[in-house]
Amino acid sequence: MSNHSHDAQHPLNAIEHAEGNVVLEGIKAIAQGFATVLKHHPREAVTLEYPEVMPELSDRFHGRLSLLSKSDDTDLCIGCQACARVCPCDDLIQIDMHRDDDKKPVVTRFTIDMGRCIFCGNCTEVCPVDCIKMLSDFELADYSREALVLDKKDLTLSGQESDEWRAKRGYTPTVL
Amino acid sequence: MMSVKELNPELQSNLPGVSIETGFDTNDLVVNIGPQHPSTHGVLRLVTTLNGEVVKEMEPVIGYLHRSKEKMGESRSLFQYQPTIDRVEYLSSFYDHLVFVNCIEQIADIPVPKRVEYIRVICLELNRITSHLLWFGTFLLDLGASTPFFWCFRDREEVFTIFENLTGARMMYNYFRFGGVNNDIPAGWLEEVRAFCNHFPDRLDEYEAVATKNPIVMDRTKGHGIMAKEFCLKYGVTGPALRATGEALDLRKTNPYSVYSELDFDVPTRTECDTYARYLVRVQEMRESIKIIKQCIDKIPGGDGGALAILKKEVEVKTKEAKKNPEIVVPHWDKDWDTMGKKINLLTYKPPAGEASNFVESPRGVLGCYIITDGTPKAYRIKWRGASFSNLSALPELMKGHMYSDLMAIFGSLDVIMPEVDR
Amino acid sequence: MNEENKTPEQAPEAEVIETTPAIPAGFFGALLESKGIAVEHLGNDAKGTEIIRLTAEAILKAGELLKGDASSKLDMLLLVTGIDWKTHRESVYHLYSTVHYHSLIIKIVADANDTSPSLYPVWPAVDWHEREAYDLMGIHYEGHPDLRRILMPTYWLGHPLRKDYKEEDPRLVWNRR
Repeated sequence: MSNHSHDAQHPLNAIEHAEGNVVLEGIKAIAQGFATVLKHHPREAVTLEYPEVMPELSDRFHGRLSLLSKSDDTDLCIGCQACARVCPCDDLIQIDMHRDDDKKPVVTRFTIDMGRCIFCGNCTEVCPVDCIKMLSDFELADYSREALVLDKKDLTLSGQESDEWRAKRGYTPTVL
Repeated sequence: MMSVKELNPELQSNLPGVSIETGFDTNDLVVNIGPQHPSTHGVLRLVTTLNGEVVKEMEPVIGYLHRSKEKMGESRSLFQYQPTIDRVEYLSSFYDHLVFVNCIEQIADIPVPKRVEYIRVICLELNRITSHLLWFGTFLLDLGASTPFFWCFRDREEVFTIFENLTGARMMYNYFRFGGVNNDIPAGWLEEVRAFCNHFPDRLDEYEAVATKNPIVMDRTKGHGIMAKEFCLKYGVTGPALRATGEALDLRKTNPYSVYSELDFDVPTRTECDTYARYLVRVQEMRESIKIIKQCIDKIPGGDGGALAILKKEVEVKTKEAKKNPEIVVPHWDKDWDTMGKKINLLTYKPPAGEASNFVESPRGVLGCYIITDGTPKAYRIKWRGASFSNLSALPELMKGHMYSDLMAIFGSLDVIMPEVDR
Repeated sequence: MNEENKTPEQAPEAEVIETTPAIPAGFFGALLESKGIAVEHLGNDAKGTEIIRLTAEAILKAGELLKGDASSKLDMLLLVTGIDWKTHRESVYHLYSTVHYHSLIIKIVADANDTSPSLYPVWPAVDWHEREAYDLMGIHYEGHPDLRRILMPTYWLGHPLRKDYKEEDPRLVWNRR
């Protein structure tokens, strides 16, 4: 320290004082940081031990696509192609249908390539009969790309499951 | 503290005195940073010419994430294109949706109910917080602090859960529609948001206790990467980087869109123009966002979703009955409570021919969309203005004369996100 | 959390910001015409932003004027868009004023050889934007200091955003749409 240490007005001293403050402030800031980190230790963890503990998903979750059925296990889908037309991914949903003798639609093929699906929910929004919907199922990993192409049998839920889904999400179906 | 007046606009070319007198011959060294460098937060390649440790020249090479979003818009119907907009800028995708639907709403003259505007503003401001939180965590991670990174992700996930309850997705929302939103808010959602707003400022205090006055953070940010206002205008730099120069350009205030003119908030500005100032502006912006969200929760027409959904069902049923039996009284329903301004068949929707351009204040700066329609379901031309694109173009000149070790601090303070640059 | 943990230097009070003043319709066009520059008025876009079309000869002079004039002060360039109208190409410039908070759209038609003057001397911010328009739309900007491809690889042939662009890769779907 120089001999003018008591003279705070001295320009040299001003720098020294400032530096002293910076060091002090720095130590204070670091101590404060450590104190804040320590405060976190007794807090409850926010992470989940998946897969032992499953997350609580919202009712609107965009998960695996599925086709709901009527309560008596018959097809709800009328094969109108609306979902295929609004899908942003090319040829992701493929539908073949014909009309039977009573002019009623019969869907013979309905495949969705879940490997290319981006889970946007566009198809569920335009479906005129509320048939194609999204489940809360997000565990879709499989061993091959081909296995991710789901056909109509994989996609269709039974009448009971469909009713449960509708009850859970408070859905009033337009056509039943 | 330097004021902006003291700053020489020419300062960029002769920043810190870094001419090194070596006394022997030196060669320039070309270092290739990226495209997989962890601190570039995406795939950015920086071809850097170094003189010793000082950056002499820098050339960003971009395009690694080019997914031809504009071409995709020309080949898909508008509704089909909408989910892919989320991927233009995935950290704040509500903003991309907002400019997109605003353009179509203006071209087709679709009214937007008040309730929708408030829901949108809540989503936007929460999204600004998540975006800034990710920036906060990764910026400090680049400086060497790893603890705040995990804290930021914890709070970010909390907001994502709120978004999931609303839209069904955590990051790719696909929620806004032309003249409305996809789905009304669920019962109890506003309370979730309010609970978050109530505890988040305390969390923010904790972050700041760790970082703001930390001597290492201050040493590495104060006085580095100085961008004066003239420099920002030269490159079209906007957002927090521009506001750190004392220029209070925030489109929410200057050209209010949505319902921002009805809300009371401040535009945080600093005058130091350096990396630290940009840091402080962003932290302050999160606090302002909380202020905006709290006002929106109080002001939203119709209130929470649960009771309103019941009322809506009742109105629908009673209106049908009233047609047969005129004695039945239909409960009052306000136009402001709707979630759709006009019923649109999304499958066959064709906007009229026209053009519109919209610019909004995204977390990174001015985000814009320019759409030309020609009366078909597809757009004739869609052009995106990502704030990061312009902000990144300023980097080579900004880095000139800086130490190589300051690169990631300065680059991080620009908050560039690569998908928005390459689109 | 005690007082000390608050932000050490709170941001200064934000200054009172005036919102957009309503500018009269055709304001910028009239301003340029009063200085003797020929302007083609194209009305407003759906948001209400004025659109004008300028000739390639007049653009630089008009640009200096719009940037410098106290009543317009369009000092920030937001966006450059190239549009393919099949018969010709067009550049669209979105301008904004950080002083008056108003904006303007300028359109310039590129000539038969797809060349258009660069606005780099007036707004250096067009640098990357014009490079992108060159890369994806194939408009050559005369006077641009560094006109190279920016998003596509340097070896790429053709300009992908043109309407007649065909990519033979079977994985790409837009040729069929």
